[in-house]
Amino acid sequence: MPAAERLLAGLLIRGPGADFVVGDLAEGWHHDRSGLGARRARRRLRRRILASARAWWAPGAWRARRRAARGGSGRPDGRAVVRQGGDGMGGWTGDARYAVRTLIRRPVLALGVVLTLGLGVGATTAIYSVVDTVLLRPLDYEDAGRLVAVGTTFPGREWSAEADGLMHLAGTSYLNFVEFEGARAFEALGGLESAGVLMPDQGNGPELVTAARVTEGFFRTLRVSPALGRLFHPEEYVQGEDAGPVLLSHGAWTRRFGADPGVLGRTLGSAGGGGVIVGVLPPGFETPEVVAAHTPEFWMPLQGGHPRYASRGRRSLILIGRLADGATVNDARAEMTALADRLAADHPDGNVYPDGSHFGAGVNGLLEETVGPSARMLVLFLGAAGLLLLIAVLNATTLLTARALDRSTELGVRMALGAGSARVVRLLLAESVVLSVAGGALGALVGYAGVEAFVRYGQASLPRMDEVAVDARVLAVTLAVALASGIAAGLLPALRVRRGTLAGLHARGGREAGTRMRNALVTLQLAVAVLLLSGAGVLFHSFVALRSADPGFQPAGLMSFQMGVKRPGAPEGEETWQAWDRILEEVRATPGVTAAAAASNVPFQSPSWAPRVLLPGEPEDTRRDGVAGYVVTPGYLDVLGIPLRQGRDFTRTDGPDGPWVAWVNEAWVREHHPTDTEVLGSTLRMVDEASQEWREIQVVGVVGDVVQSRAEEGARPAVYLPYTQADWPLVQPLMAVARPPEVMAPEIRRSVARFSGMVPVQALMSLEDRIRATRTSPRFHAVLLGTFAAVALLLASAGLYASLAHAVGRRRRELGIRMALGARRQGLRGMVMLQAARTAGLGIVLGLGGALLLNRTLRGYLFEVQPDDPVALTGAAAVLAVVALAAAYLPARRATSVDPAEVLRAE
Amino acid sequence: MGRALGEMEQLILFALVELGDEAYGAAVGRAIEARTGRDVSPGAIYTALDRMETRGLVASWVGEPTPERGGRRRKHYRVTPEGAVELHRSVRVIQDMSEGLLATVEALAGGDGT
Repeated sequence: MPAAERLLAGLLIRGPGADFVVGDLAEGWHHDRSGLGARRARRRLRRRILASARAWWAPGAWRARRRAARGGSGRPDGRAVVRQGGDGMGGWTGDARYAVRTLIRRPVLALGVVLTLGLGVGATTAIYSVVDTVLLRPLDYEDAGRLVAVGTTFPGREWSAEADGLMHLAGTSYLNFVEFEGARAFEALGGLESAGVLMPDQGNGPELVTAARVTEGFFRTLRVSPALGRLFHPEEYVQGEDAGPVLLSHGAWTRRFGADPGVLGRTLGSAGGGGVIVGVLPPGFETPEVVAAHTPEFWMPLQGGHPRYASRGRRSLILIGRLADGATVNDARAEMTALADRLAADHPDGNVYPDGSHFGAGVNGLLEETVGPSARMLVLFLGAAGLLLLIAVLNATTLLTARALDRSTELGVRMALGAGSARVVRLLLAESVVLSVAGGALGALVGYAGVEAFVRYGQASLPRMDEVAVDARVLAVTLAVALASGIAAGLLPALRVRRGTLAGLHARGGREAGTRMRNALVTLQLAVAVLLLSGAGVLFHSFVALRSADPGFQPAGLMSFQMGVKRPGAPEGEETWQAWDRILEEVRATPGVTAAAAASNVPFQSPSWAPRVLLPGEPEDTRRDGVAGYVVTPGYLDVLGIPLRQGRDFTRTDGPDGPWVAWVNEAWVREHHPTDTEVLGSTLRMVDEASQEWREIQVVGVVGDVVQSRAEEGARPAVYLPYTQADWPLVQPLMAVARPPEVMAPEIRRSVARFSGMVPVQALMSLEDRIRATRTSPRFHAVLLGTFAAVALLLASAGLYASLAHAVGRRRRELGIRMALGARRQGLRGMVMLQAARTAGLGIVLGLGGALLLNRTLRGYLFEVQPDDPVALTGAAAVLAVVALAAAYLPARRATSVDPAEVLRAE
Repeated sequence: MGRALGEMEQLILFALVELGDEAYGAAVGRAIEARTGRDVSPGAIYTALDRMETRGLVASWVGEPTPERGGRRRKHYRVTPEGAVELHRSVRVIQDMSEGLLATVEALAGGDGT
């Protein structure tokens, strides 16, 4: 029988004699398979399993079965009879049935335990599913364990700051890649360069389709074979032809060509013409996330002879390799380092910095490179889920202990009548098992929902989210966790029975011991809740700080987009800045646009230009990393609302023929002119990108700092050049708009189409959306941990409530007598509240202590907030205190509603 | 003895009679299917057999495991004398009652007997 059906049958049909039924099902399937064919036999098998299960559990069926199972009733030839069943398991199922019946009689308790376990197990399941997929499962390639990421490293920054043991890898130039190809540590090495193919206007404007150019080793490294047609021939990586060969991703083939098998030999129909389709990649094939965020739709051979690959400074290839048999990542690292040293000696151009240090080469496992810095956060989430599960188990233990106390009379009678302690323990454990199976089922549901929500909101923040799913392995873990949790929860009360304290339980001393234990359990729950609350509080505080951080400009009502200025049919001899002007003209003419300017980059977007800048008198081999370069039009400061601290705005006179000028930002001044030396009028030197020669530039203004890529990173020193004095072929117009972005977007596209219908408009969005996108991860972290904390708070306060309510219930007699003796209602109420306050207070102290120790793991995810943030810690304590007292109020009131007369009558 | 046999029980008892020593769940199912075209699930067969075993109408013994059952044993059944009496009686009741009426029943059902 197929494994799935065998599992199903095993799950659904159980108990004495089940084997015979399952055997028959197997035999029937065996029989059908030759008659009906495998598919229909399997369908029929499934139908029969379900029908069998229905009959098997029909009312009265199991009773008849148990009687029949006492053994065979006689073989015709009178030989011995094999006995079935009747062992301990029968007793267990009996206990389980008894447990179900007794639990149904107290549905609130049962429901409480099941809900508690379900939430804890569900949260753990959801996070474990994610961790399992992202961190533990190999990537979806043949023999993926040997795949590695290979790349260039920067001197002094070889190792990643965010993850241990990972190298910080960047792109590699084609000429360096060719040298790396010979490394013995690799069985295969391939490179990919991102590209775009422009598809003509189909009604929604021209479309820039993601494409890739790959080297010959790329498909060999990943071991991909085409679903249709062929891969590229070796000679196709050499010759440069306009109508070169193209491979389609399976998605592109389905979406754009209707999965037409006749597509081979046709041309792509791109705006540039050319591109003969030679093959289609297999359906499941996706590029590793480190290589490209989305699998390219069109694939082309990378022809290394093209002039664009002549520079070793153009590090545009992302490399992946497959380790040779027996080679390790460390072997590869050693060999690559040696290769990089040799390259620096043989080809200093593009490999050696002006200060003499040179680029290196590094290797990481592909899985580690993909998962990298997310691993720590995921493990943290798993820890948080584990804490939630701990609360759930403690809570269930509290409830079950209370129940065991209530049942001490019944259990005592049972033992007095001769039931062994083992028998009573079994009875109690049967209950926990029944509860944990129900809790596990609920947990699986919660887990499914949780994974779905996690993937939806975590998509932008974590790798491999499209692979995450709850599968059989995870469900098995869920069930195991649920069972372990349930049994752990039932063990404590059961063991007390076993130790023989049961008789004592009934006596007053035993009852006090029980109460003490229950208080300890509740205190622990509250402590863990405080711990989670404070963690979530720190993340939330950090997120709020991030939200309210001053971006340095006014994003409200601004939109931007990005486009290239090169286009077919441009006027002869048009300068780049003239094209900027034409685009801005069209943008300004758009109805609803009240002001517009343009720049090479907008805020909250990593600057794409890092110019080489020298201070007056510095030698040319001075190394200065991380200067942000911007090219802007006049009006840029006004539209964004960036303050001009000193000097003047760019004007018309700062033209291509005028003296060259620049602004610097305040971060520049802080770094290079800390002692109030005159900035304005100073002369910088900068390499002109076009001629690669040094030119002198005068500083004519100092502008306010703005957030460059994300608010977590402070502003880097920046230099701004007027657009007429820099040749920047990508323009990003910035517009102040009077109407909502979704109304403006089509208007803007229409206007830009008047500039050119052939150039795609990209990243058209409001600046506020752009800013929000940079906060996705911090918000996700805060919301997720916040959800855990909220559930933890709910469970812990429910535990406190249940415990107090139970205590009050048991002390009715005592309370009644106290009242009869003249105790005041307020006094009694105060007594209960005081007990709650003591428990909560101890919980808060323990929880805060834990937080001081454990919140340190959050460092690295925090913005302007410390892990021991007093606001978050006191906030967590306050929230818990309020909720705990609220949970205690009802039992406290009930304590005073005891009618002394009634209590005394009952005596 | 006891209540009257149900239709399912009758079918199974007849199958046991037909199969003799080779009567076990799957074989019973096949025999019923061969004669009546009905697909009866093993679960239903065993439920009925268990019920009849407690009433003493059938007796069982456990046979040898076979590979096509995934190494699980068969449980064989035979009709006890009590079972045979009961089956005979219940069939006779129907026969006596239906004597000469079947044609009319078919007409009432509006069919031509098929």
